[in-house]
Amino acid sequence: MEKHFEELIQQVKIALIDADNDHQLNNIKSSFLGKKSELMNMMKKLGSLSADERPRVGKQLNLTKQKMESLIQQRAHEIEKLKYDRTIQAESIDLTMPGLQPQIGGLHPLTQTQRKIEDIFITLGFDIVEGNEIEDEYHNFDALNTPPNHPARNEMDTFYIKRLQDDSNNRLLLRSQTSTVQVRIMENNQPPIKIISIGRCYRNDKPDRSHSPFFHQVEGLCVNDNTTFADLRDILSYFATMMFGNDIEWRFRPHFFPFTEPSAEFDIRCFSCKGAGCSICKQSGWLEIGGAGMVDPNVFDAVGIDSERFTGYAFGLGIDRITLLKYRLPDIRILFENDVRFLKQLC
Amino acid sequence: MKFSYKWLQNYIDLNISHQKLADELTFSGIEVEAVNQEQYFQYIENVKVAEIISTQIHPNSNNLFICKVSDGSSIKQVVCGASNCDEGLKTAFIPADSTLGDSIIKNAMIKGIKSEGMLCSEQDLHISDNHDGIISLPLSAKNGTPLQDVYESKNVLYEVEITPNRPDLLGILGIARDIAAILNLSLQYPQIPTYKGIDHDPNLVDNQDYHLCPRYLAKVIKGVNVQESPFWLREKLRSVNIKPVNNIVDITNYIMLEFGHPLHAFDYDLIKDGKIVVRKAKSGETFTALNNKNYDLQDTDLVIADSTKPVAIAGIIGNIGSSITKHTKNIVLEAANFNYVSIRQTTNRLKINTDSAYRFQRNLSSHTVSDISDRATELILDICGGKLVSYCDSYPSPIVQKTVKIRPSRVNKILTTDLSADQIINYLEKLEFQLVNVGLFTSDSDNNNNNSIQEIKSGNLNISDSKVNYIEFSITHFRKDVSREIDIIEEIIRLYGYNRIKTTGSSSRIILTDKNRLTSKRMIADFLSYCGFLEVINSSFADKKQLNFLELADNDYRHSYIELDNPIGSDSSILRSSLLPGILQNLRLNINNKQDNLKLFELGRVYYDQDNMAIEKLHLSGIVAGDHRKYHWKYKTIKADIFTVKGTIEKLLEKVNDKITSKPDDSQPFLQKGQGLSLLYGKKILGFMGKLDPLIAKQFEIEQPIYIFDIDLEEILLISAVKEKHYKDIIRYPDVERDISFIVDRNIDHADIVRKIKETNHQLIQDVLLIDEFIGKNIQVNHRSLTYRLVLSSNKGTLTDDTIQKLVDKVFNQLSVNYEIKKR
Repeated sequence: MEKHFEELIQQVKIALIDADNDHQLNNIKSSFLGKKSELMNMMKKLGSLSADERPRVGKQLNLTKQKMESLIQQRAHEIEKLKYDRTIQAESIDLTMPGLQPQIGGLHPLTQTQRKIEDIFITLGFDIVEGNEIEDEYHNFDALNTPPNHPARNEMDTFYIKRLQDDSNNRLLLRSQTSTVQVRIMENNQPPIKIISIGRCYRNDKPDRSHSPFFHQVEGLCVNDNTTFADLRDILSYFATMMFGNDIEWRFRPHFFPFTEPSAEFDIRCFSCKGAGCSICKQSGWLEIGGAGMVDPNVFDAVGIDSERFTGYAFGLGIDRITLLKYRLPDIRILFENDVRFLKQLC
Repeated sequence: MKFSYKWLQNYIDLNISHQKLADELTFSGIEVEAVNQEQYFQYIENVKVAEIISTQIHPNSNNLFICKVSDGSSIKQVVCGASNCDEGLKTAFIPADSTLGDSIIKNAMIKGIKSEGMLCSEQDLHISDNHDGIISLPLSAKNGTPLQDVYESKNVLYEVEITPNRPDLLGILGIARDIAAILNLSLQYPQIPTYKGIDHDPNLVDNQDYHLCPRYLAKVIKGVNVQESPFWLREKLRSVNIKPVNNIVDITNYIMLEFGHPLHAFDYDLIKDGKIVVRKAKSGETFTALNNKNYDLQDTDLVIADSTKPVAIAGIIGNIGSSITKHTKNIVLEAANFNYVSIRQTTNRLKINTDSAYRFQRNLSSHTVSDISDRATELILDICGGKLVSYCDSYPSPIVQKTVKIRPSRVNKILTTDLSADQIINYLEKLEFQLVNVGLFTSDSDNNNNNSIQEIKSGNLNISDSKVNYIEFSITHFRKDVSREIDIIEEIIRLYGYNRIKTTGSSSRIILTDKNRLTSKRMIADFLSYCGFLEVINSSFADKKQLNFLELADNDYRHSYIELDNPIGSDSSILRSSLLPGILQNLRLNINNKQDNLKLFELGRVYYDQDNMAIEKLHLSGIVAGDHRKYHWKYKTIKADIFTVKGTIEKLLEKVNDKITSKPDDSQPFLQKGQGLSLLYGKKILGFMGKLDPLIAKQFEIEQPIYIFDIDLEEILLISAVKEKHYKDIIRYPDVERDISFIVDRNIDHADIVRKIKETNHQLIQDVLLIDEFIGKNIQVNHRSLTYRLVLSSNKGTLTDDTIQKLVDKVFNQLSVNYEIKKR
C-alpha cells in the first residue's frame, strides 16, 4: 500500500515535467486529485477498512494528497514565472530608437534677455511700466533738457511721423530713447518713484552689423528723498553681477547726457579676453553696456518735482547689445531675420 | 496672561475705551488676544443681600438647617443644606416666586418645613464654579441690596500674549506700568511695608545651591486663622478666573498675579525640625504633589525640603503633606527666585504646568523677592491674623544694577525720528529706568561733564538746548531683557509708536505695475513656446505694398497706417498696422531654407491712426504651416489644419479667461471662405484665426496651406486681469460615460447641438465630447452621423442605471424637439 502511494507521487512528478501551461496543469490536477482519481477512490473506500487500519491509511492518504497538491502548486508557480519571462522577452525592444518628443518652440533671444533684466529689477523692488514709442518732441527732447538746436533732433538722427494733425510746434516722432518714460511718469506721479521701462526705440541709422534703426532699451529711474550716486552704483553693480556673473568687473566712465548730471557710461570687463584686448571689445578690454547718471534738476523742474528736496538716478541699458554680448552674436541683424535655425539654437 | 480692567484700575486711573486700550497694548508689544465681557447678570437680577439671623438644625434631617433670614424688608424662613449657613452671615437670597435663569423658585415644603426661597452659592448664580457653601458677602453689604450692586457690576477680562523676554508683564502691576508709560499716566505703586526688629533666624533656611536658588527668603508667621478669604479678595481672584482656596493660599496667588512673581506657603508645623533645606533632589526620591500625582525626581531637580523629605519641587508645585489647611496655625512664607533653566527642564520632564512654573521659567528678578514677601506678610497679618516671628534671607550675591549709555543721535538715526534728549528721558523714566548721568559734547573731548546731571536737576541746565552726547540710565532690576543701547532704542520706539515712523519709499512706493499684465504676457508666450511655436521679433517698419496684399477694406483700421516723414527706404515707409505681413515674410524665408513644421508667433505692437491720434497696441499673431506633429517612426504624422490651430488657441484663451468663445466668421478678407473663425468675449471681437486664402498666400510667394491667428492682446490682458480662480466642490462620485449616435442635417452646428444637450440637465451632464463624425454610406445627402460621449455624474451619489437611462432618453427627446434626428 505505502509503496503504491510513493508510486502515485512519482507519477505526478513525471506528468508535471511536461506540463508548461495552465491547461495541462488543470488536466493533471483532475486526473490525480479529481473525483474519479485513484486517490479519491481510495478515500471513498476508507470506510470499509477496519478500525485498526483506518487511521493509519487515512493519514497516509492525506499526506499523499498534500504532497501531490504541493507538487502541482509548485509547478504552477514555475509556469507563472515562465509566462512572465516570455512576456518580458517579447516586449524587449531597441531602446536606442527615438522617443516621441513633444515639439516645443521657444522665446526669442531678446525676450529671454528682457525677462532676465525684468526679474533682476523686480527683485530690487522696481516697478515695470510701459511707455509709448510714438512720442512728441517735447517729451523726447525738451523735457529731457535737450537744447533746440541739438543735432539729435535732426532728421538724420530721428524718425518723424507724417503729420496726423497740425503739430508743427510739437511734432510726433519715434522716441530715440526710453528716457521719455521718465518724463511721462514724473509728470503724473510724485516721488518715491522706482521704475524700469523696457521698450523699442528708433534712430535713423543705416542697418549694419552693429546698428539697427530700431533697438531695445531698459530705462531705470529712482527718485526719492535721499537717492544718491552711491545708490546708482550699487544698483548697476548688482545688475552686472546678476547678468554677467559674480566675478564681473565694471566701471563708470564720465560722459555727457543732456538729462543727467553727473553722467556716466557703464562698462563691464570684456568677458571674452578678460581685459587683454580682443575683437569683441575692440582691443579696449571693456564693453559698454549703457548710460547712467543723476537726474538733471532741469528735468525735475520740467515735470514739477521739487529738485531741492528730491534726488534721483536714471540709467539706460541696451538690451540688444547685452544680448549680442551674451550670445556672442556676430551681427545684430540676425536677431530680426527670424531664421528658425538661429532661433532654435538659442532657445 | 489674564487681567481684569477693574484690577488694573487699582494702579492707574484709566478712562479709555476697551478697544482703545486693546489697541494701545497691542501696538506697544503686548498683543491682546481677547477682551471678554463677563456675563452673569441674567442670573442675579432677582437676588438680594440677606442676613442669617438664626440657624437651627432641621428636625427631620441632620444635613439641613432652618434659617431665618432678613432681606431688609421682612424675615423669611429658608431651608438650607450649606455647612456655612451660620448666624450673622451675609449671603445671597432669592425669594420665592422669582426666576433664576430659566426656572422659578417656589415656596416649598422641605421634609415638612416651609422654605420661602433659596440661599445661593456662586455656582447657583453662574458667577463661578464655587459650590463650597453659600456665598458669604462683606458685612458692610446692606440687607435687601440687589446682588448686582455688591458684585463688581462689570468685569472685563483681557487676555494678552506676553513675549518670553518680558517676565515683568506676567503681573498686573507690570502691565499697568507699561500702560502708564504709553498713555503718560501716573502709576499708583502698592505700599510696601517694612518689618523691623524681627528675629533673624539663620537656621531657618539652609540653601545648598546658590546657583539654582539665587535667593530664598522665608518668614515664619504664627497663630494664623485659616478660613475663607474676604469677599474682595475672592472677587479679585474670580475676576481673573482663579479659584479661591483659603485666605493664605489666596493671598499668595493674589501677590503672584499682582507682581508676576510666585510665592508659596507651608504649614510650619508640618516642616520637620522647622528647617527649610534648598537642595537638589536625590536620585530615586519620590514626591506626591498637591495635584495628587506622584513624581520621580532626579538629582538635577531642585527641591525645597525639610530635614527628611522634599516638601515642594522648587518653584513648581508643593507637596500634599505640608499644604495649608484649615487646621494650619503657623506658616512659613516662601519668597524666592530659582534658576529658570533648571525650572524649565524639570517642568518639561515632569509635564507639570502651574502658574508658578510658568513664571519662574522666564528668568525673574531676585530683587522683587523682598517686596512681595513684605506685601504678602502685610495682607496675611491683616486678613489671617498671627504674628511675624522670624525670617531668614539667603541672598548671597545681590544683583548689581547696570547702567547703559544712550546717544540721542543714535536713537534718531535708527528710528528716523527727531527726538530730543528730554523726550527720551521722559519715555525711559516712565519705564522706571533711572537717569544717572548726561554727557554733553564739549570742545575738549576728554572732559566728561559729570556734573551736568546735578545741573539739570537743579534747573541750571536745560538739556533740550544743549548738545547731548549721551544719557546714561540705570536699568531697573526687573528688566533683564534690557542691557544695551539698542535694547533701550527698542523701548523708545515701542512707546513712541511703530506706526508713527514714516516709510522712506526706498522699497515702498507708488505701485505702477500691473503685475497681472506681466504674468499673463509671459504665460501666453510660454504657452505657445511649449506648444511648439518659436517667437519671432520683426521690425516696426512695414511695406505698404505687402499690407495691400491682405485686400483690406478701406475702412479697416489696418488701412489707417501711420507714415514716416523720413523713412530709410520705400519698403519701410510705414509703421506696421498688422503683424501678419512680417510673420509671413519670416515663413517664406524659412520655407526657402527648406525648413518645415513651422510654427511662429510674434508678440508686438501695431500702430495706426484713429481719429488723428496715434494708437499703439500689443497684438499676438501666429502662423502654422506643415505638420502639427512631426514624422515619427512609430506614430502617425498629424498634418496641421484649422482644427490643430483652433485647439491650440482655444486652450490658450481658456487659460486666460474661460468665457472666451469662437465662432465661424468670414469677415476677414484674407481668410479662405468657410475657414475663418472670430474670437469673442461676450460681443467683443478679440481677434480671429483661420486658413490664409491660397491666392493671398501666393502673393507672399507661399504655396502650401497656412493657418494664422491674430489677437488684440490689450483686450486679452484686460480680461485676464479680472480672472481669479476659486475652489468649487469636487464631485466625489465616479463619472459614468454613455455614447449616443444620431443622424442630423449637415447645417446644424456641433456647438449648437452640444448646448442643447447640456441644457437637458446642467447638474448631471459634466461634459459632452464629440467622438465621431461620419458622412457617406447609408447617410443621406447633406446629412451626417454624429456620436457624442456624455460624461455624467452627480454630487449626490453614484448614478443608477435607471437615472442614466432616463437622462439619455431626455437628451434624445430634447434633440428631437429641436432638430430632425434619426437615432442610430
